[in-house]
Amino acid sequence: MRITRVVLENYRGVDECRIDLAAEGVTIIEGENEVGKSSLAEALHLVFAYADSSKSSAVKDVQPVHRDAAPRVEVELTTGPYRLVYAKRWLRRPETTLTVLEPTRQQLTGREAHDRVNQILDETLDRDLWDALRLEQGGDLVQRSYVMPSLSRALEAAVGAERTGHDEDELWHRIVAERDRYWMANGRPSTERARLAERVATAAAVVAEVETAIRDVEARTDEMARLEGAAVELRTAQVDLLRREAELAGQLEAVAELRRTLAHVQAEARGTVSEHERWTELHASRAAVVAAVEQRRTNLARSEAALAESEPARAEADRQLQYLVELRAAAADALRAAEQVADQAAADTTYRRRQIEIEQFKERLERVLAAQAAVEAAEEVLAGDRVSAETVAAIEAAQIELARAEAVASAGAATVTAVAHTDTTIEVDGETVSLSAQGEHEAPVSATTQVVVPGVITLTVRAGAEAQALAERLERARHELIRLCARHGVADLAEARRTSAAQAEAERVHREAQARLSENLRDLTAEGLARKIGAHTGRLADFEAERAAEPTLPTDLDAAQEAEAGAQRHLADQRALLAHVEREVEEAFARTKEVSITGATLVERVNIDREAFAEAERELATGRGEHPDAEIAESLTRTGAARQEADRRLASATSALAEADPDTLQAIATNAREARERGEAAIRENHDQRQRLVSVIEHSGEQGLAHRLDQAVVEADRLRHEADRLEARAAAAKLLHDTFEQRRADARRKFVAPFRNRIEQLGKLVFGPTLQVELDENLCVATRTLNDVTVAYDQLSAGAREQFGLISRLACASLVSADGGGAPVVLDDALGWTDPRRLAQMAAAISVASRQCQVIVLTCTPGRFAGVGAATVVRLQPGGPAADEPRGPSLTA
Amino acid sequence: MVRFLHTADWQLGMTRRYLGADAQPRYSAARVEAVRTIGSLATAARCAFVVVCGDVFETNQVERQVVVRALDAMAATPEITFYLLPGNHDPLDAASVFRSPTFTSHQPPNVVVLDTPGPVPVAPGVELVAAPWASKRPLADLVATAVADLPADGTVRIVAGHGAVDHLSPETSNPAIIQVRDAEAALADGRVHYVALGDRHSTTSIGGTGRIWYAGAPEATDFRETDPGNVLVVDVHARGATVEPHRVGTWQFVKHDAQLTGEADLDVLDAFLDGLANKDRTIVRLGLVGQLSLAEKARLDHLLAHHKDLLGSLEGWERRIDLVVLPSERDYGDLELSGFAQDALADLRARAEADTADTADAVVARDALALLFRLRGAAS
Repeated sequence: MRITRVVLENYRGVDECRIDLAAEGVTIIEGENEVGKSSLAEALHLVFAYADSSKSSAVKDVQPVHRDAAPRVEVELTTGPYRLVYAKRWLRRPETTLTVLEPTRQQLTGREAHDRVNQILDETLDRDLWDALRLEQGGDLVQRSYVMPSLSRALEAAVGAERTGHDEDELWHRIVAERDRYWMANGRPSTERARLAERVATAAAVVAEVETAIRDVEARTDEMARLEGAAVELRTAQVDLLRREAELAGQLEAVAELRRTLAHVQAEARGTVSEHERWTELHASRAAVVAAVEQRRTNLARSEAALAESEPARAEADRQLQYLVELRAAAADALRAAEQVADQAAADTTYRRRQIEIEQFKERLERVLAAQAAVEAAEEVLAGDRVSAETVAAIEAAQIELARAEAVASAGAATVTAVAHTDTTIEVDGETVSLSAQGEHEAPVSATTQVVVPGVITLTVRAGAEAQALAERLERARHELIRLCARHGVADLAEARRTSAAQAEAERVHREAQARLSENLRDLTAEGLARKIGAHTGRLADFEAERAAEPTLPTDLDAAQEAEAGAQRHLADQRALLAHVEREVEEAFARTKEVSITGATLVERVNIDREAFAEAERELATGRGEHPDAEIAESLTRTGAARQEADRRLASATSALAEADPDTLQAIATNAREARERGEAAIRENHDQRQRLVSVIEHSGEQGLAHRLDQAVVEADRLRHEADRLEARAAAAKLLHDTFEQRRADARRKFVAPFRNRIEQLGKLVFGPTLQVELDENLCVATRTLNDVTVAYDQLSAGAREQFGLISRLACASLVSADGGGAPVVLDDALGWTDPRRLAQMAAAISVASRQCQVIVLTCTPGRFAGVGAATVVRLQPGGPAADEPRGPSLTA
Repeated sequence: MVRFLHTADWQLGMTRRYLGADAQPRYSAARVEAVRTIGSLATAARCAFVVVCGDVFETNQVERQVVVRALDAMAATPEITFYLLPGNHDPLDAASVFRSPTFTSHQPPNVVVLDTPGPVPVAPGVELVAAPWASKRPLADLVATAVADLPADGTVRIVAGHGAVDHLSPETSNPAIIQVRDAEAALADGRVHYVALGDRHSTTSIGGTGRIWYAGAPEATDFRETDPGNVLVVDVHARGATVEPHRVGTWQFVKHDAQLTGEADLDVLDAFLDGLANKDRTIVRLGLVGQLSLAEKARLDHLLAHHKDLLGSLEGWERRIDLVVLPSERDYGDLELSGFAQDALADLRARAEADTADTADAVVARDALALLFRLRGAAS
């Protein structure tokens, strides 16, 4: 369908308006919102949808406000082979008129006209497409389906193939539903299949369980048969074992008899041996006693010879010892005399030394006493007031100041001079002055000076101010000098100087005396020194009183020391001599002792040997008294023969027992007994086992295991069969589904290719040459790929989504219109989301698409579609269009 | 002369797993009923006794209920003594059903277990020579052992044995196999006069004497059996024996193989199943091979479902490899698919009709095709 003209009368704000549209290409209708720009789209809807008699609110809404005018819409269009003019007026004088211009002229009015138009549209127009190709302001960011007959036909025509019909779609849905009965979305078996498989497994387990129970019964039955066989064998074997055990018992008794015989022979043999051994011992002991007598005789002779040989050496040793003992006594006496001489010499030396020491102590005591006196004298001087050199200097300074003050005062001060005419007494400033006649008393007038002549006159002289100041300085100087002298206890400067010098001298004397004191006293006091002198003197007196007169006391210390040294040398010599003699005595004593012991030992040896010899002779005599030698020899021969006989009999009995091999026989008998016992135990065990098995087998026999197994197998077979069939159905459903899905996908890919290609062709103008899109089931854009980056439609910006909305419509319209069908693309203030740069690119896309279809653009923003190259522009103004302003070649019909 | 009834292999307690919930109890009941029939027949034929030559019970672990029902059935004819020989299925081992409290406490006076090898007097001048199985794996020919030391003293002796004979099972390694020559020698010597055997479920005369017989099972138990369902009424006299089979079985096992390639084959199969007698006591196993179209397969399914309702049991037609179902060109035309669905159909056909059409993959592809037809049918 292509709309070539629209006329609106009394339509909302429009009194009358005629718009001519380009049948191919773009018509841009510009106008303010109020001027009825959008009315155009609405009118196209109303004229086809509402009968002239309609009182619908949709119709009423388009009546001009405050005016009782009848809205009217007239359209001229071509659709399929038809070209027609169709008009409707509503509300007042309703009217419908149809003029078919081609292919056959026809004029209809009223209901007939309305129906004829609908018939023509049904015949030639895909109403879904008509709806789909209108893009309204701001809308349609959510894509709408392009699955519609006209596009499908166009696509089928494009690919030269049949599009799947409704039946195939219905079949496909059933195939999917059938697959879903057996398979879950994740490809795993359905719950029904899983449950059945579980039941099959359970049933198989039950079968296995019963089979096991039956096998157990069979095994027990076999075991029972085996045990019964074993019982027979055991009983047979037991008979043999008992017989064998009895045989061995007889053999053991015979061995016991042999043992008893052997024991008897052994006892006899022991008796003969004992007798023979007794005579053997007697024979041996007699020979030993005879030998002992001879031996002891020899020993006695040898020890007596040795004693005789030792006698001369012992006498020589005694004599030597006697000589040395005497020599030692003489040496000891000489030593004692030398010691006395030495002691005396030492005492003399001490005596002479003490004498000298007493003299020395006395001299020290004298020096100490002198020093003590000097110290005391100096301390006396130092006890008074101390006048230091600084004090002397201070008093000298005060003295000088006073002299200066006096000089200045006398130079500058007034003086009063009294000259007595007679002896008289006056008082000057309260001081009585006796003047002799012509005597003169001059007094300085320092401030006020009163001169009183008692009873006569009181003369007051007042000095001037300068004289007063001088007088005051003088007074201060004098006062200072007096204060200093009084403070240090001196009368004047001269005394101060003397006192200071005396004190310095006393200090020096004190220091020197102290030094002498400590040098002479050392660690003593003067009293201690005196006591030492006293004590030493007492000792000397005692020594002199006690000492013998001879030898003479040496004259001095040196002589005493020399005498002492001589006495000491002599003493040492005497000591050495004594020590030498004593060593020789010891050695001689030891030799004597040794010789003496040797002698005593030899004597004792002789005594012992003599006694031993006598003893041996007695013993031999006694023995021969009891058993003469002949008796012993005869008995020894006799008992020896008896012993040989007994040994022979013993060997015979032992051999007989050994031949019977009692150990082996015992082992065999023990083994036989154990085997018999083991056999009994085995028989008991076998019996017990059979008893136990009998009850178990009896119990299982009552359970009807065979029947249970049959039931379980039947159930398991049934379930397995059912499961097999279910699995077969599942496999068939899956194969059918997968095969169809594969083919369906292939077909769809082929089918949508032209549409996708057209969308990409237009879209590349907007998004660039790398654009690729994928379409979904509804032929909507599912993904956009730019520069190998793929983005889902929902993730795209609003602008991009809006652009795809328009591009899809343009692609659809251009495909559908290519074979003469289709419908105009109506854009009502679209691309509000699109930025200016993209807007220009979209304009290019519109331009390209419009070569194959009709595009009607309604906009209140004239500049928005300025980029569309070849377009017819209609500008709407209140009341009607202002002018046609074709841009580029006009395609207006 | 003595007349008795020779039977064997009752296999009481045996179940057939392919029987359904309806058929199995009826089949079991029929086999107990056969015991009553045997008692009645013995009475009617004036038999001195009944000897059951082994495998009275399917197993020693048989259900209590089976034991008491069997004993009850035998007790119904107290005038007839049943001599029961333990066989390889119910040997006289420690677990023997014949020694179970259930058996011994319900054992009626006319039921005797031949539990000792050797002769047992059963009537004046008549002995049963028992060769019972004491275990599942005997180590000798029990029949030969039982008759070895018997004298030919004029006593009529009937051997009751069980197991395979060397004529039919030349199993040289089995020490228990019954040597027919030895048995025939005993017959020739006059030591014994008839050898009653059990184990083989089909009624069979062994050797040339006419006096060695397998009685067969009184009710069929398997498809392999050639002549089951009989018992033998035997007259034994000094010079020989007369053996007369009597049919007592009411169930039959039928195995049928058919090649199916079109409607005509289906007609034949239908007629065969229709012609079976005693349908509710007939157990049928079909072996179907060939190739059918969808429509033919639908008819086959319908036909078999119908007969399954009638028969005691019908099995063996669900195996999908032997019988290939492939849609015909007409079937495919009816699908009216276009576009991708047509392509997918072609893929599936290629897999279903590939040279390796017997592989699991082709089977799944055929199933998928069948499913497609079903879904398309529902969709259109």
